Amino acid sequence: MLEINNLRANINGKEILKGLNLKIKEGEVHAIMGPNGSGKSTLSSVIAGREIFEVTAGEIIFHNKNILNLTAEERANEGIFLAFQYPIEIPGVSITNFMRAAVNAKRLYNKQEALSASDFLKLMKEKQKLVELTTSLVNRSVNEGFSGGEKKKNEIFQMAMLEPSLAVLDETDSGLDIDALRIVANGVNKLKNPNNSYIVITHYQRLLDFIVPDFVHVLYDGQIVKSGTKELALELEEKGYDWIKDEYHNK
Amino acid sequence: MNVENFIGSVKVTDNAAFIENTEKRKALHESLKLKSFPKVKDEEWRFTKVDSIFDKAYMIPSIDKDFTIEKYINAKDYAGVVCYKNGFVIKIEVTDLNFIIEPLSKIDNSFDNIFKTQEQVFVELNNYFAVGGVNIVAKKNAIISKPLLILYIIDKDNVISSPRNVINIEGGANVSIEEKILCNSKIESLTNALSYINIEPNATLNYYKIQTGSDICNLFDTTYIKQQADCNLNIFTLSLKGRFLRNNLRIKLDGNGANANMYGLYIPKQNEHVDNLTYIEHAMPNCDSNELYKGVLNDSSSAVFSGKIMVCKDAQKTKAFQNNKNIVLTNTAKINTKPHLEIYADDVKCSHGATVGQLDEEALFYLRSRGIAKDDAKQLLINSFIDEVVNNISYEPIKDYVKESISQKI
Repeated sequence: MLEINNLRANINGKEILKGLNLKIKEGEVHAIMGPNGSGKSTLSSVIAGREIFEVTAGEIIFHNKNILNLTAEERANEGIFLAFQYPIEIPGVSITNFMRAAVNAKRLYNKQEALSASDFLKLMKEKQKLVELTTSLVNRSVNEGFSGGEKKKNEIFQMAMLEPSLAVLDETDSGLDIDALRIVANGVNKLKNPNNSYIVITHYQRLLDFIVPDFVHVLYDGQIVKSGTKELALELEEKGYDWIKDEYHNK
Repeated sequence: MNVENFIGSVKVTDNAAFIENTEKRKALHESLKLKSFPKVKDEEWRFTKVDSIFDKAYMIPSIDKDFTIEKYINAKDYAGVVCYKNGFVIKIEVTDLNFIIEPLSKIDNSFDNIFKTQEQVFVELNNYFAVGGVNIVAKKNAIISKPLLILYIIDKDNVISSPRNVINIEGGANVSIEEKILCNSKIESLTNALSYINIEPNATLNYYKIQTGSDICNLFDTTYIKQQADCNLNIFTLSLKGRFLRNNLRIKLDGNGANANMYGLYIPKQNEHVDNLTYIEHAMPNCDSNELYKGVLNDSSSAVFSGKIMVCKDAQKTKAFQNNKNIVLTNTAKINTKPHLEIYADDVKCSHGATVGQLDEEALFYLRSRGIAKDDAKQLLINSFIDEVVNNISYEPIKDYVKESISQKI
């Protein structure tokens, strides 16, 4: 469903992604690990369509369509979702209004009628349960005054509402205590099905105990330098990244 | 153009009936001769040029009573209606008898001396040219949920209109007044309005100024308010449309424990210019004032906020807060903001501040990454910014009207 070929991307003239390749099939979970500054968050931003990054080469094929010319909102409506590492606080915009606008934008994109108010609220309730997000939070402004854990739960809640076919979780585990991590991971696992795929970006093996990946990739210096199965993550946890860096530089 | 030439250039139709008598107008004429229009070197007019407005030839038409109220409003929403048309009072209708409204037969200038101002020339011009005015009283202890409507309709070319409202809210009353200006979109006009409001002890007044002018209308609006002990004021200045809008709002907290909330919103577009001057004087102890003005500027529009809090020597235990926040949507729009605080008492809590910024790019991307189109995402962010002002409107029909007008414009 997703094929990234020779992707190169700059920010402010500095090249961050240097010919990245990645292939993901329906139903797969891919973990991306790597040292700080290797380009993990850039990759997630570029997939989501953030304009401050300039793509200089390559392609991103999603459901047989090159999405590089699509806007961020078009990509979202095509079925891509980015769970932010640092979710943004938006004072004055309630989560309910935010999600109603988002859900109906997607329905409009797919030429479906907007949800009625009661159907929408029903959907909200159902998905809130999934991530144990309380009603009082949903009535508040988007992420405003939320704890780190609440913000991340809110990301997964939004994902549940929008039912993407590809979700990129950008360090969703950062800033979470064990209980919140479990709730977030359970939410993701409940949403998993044979048709949707995940890219899980993380620094820690711990998250992968809860969300078990089919493949693990190491991103370093703007490229995927090593791929393996979930055992690779355990090996990284134990040995760190130096041996991978050595391998890469000795090539 | 100097003021004398301007006065001479105004064409007066024969049967125009000035409120003020000939003698007083002669004296005003003498006084105005010595005055000039404000210049940018005047501190309170630094960012607003008025010359081009007074270079035009205006006229005072004859009275035209033709009026279908249903065309403009649903009268059932109001406790009473005062309608000015081209400066003449053509209708006074009171449905709630706790309001007493009479045509103004004489101009009382006692209010003018409360504030020493740089807009005195506009006050005198209003006195000189006024052909219509009303005296409004809200009776003692009257509690009226529907607002009284003061409507300014301008539908003749080149009209100068000088409406004048003298309002007294008697002790313990709790009332709302909505003031709305509606201009025919194809005509050039100049409105120089003046309102004097006195709020007696323990009364509450909600006052809504809804400025929905036209692309070629000019409005000077001067409002002087005196607040007595333990009274409450919530005043909204909502500048929704108009090529040139200048609001002078001056409030004196003249009794122990008085409270004033001042809210403002301006959303200029194209070449519109909105200038808000506010001045609040804490003359007595234990008064609170709270001011929030917000602006969203588009295209090549411009706006000015200049707010001053004056805390006098005797005004101990004052709480006074002022905030002006702006979002500038383009590179060509311009805001000048000047929060100002002067304190002569020593036991007070005061703050003032101003911000100017653009739409938050991070928030915009966040919304777009959920599938919301860029323009809709902008709208959501702008609305949330504006709501901080609009949500303080307690009367739902007015809130709905304002929200609707805003969404049409933005």
